Amino acid sequence: MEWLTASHWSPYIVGAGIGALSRVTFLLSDKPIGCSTAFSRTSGMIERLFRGRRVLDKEYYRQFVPEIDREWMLVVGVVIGAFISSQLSDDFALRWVPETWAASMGTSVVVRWLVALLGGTLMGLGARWAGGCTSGHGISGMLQPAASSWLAAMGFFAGGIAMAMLIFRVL
Amino acid sequence: MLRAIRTHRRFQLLMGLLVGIPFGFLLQKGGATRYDVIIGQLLFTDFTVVKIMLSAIVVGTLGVHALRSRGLVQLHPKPGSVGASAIGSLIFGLGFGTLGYCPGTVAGAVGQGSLDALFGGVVGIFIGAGLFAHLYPR
Repeated sequence: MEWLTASHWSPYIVGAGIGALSRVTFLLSDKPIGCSTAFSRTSGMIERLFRGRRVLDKEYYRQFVPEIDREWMLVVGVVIGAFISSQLSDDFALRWVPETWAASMGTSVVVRWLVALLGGTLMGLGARWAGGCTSGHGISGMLQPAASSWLAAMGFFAGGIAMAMLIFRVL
Repeated sequence: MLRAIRTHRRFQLLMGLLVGIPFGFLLQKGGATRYDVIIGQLLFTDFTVVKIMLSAIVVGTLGVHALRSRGLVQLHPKPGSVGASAIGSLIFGLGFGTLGYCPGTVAGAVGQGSLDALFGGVVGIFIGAGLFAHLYPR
């Protein structure tokens, strides 16, 4: 059972496994795998706690009702699965600042937190604007293949490469 | 049979969990839940992410099209204009490069204990998605 406690698996095995999960989801749920809609629904649920039922009247939340659905459970599953994997390989660690970041941007927790918060905000906005993320467009969309998803995947990486180059090669 | 399974709400919630757990497990084992690996891909120093995505696409394409040719599944291309896909994906990309996780891998990063993913990434995505819901449909 050493393979279960190994901290790295071949990316090809991992990718093939994700492809198989995509196939199972198409077959048994008639849906592609995606992640970002669950964040949007949760955001609506949180807003509802503060502003009450009128949040549900918003045009967007009529289409994407703030409630727990299959995809929401999938994202919860991702947290659990990664937790199990990191426990088995002894990789689990409460960590604020990733190594690559610390090496060039310093070890300040506040700086890393604020930058991550800004990055997350842009990503949440962009994911809803584009109608999907690296899972929904990047994997599920590209495997169908859907033209809008190939375009979106190019945009994800173009923007990502530009920002990573700016942070690590220019700044 | 398939129709009954696909419309059974509680079974579908369970399906989400049953697919999500191995998905997160695989992402973590592959290293895709690590900031360093994702940024390495964007800086072209580590090609793990592209290897994972391309093998998922190859295996997924073969599987889904085999099912489709037997009439078992339909494709679900995402709707959306070229403009929305282009602008949205570029904004997403800038955020992706800044955060160093995507919406799927940020969940996996939370599972492995990355606090920047939890308090920065996840909270930020809630804020960004909420902003979009306010702007929509303008």
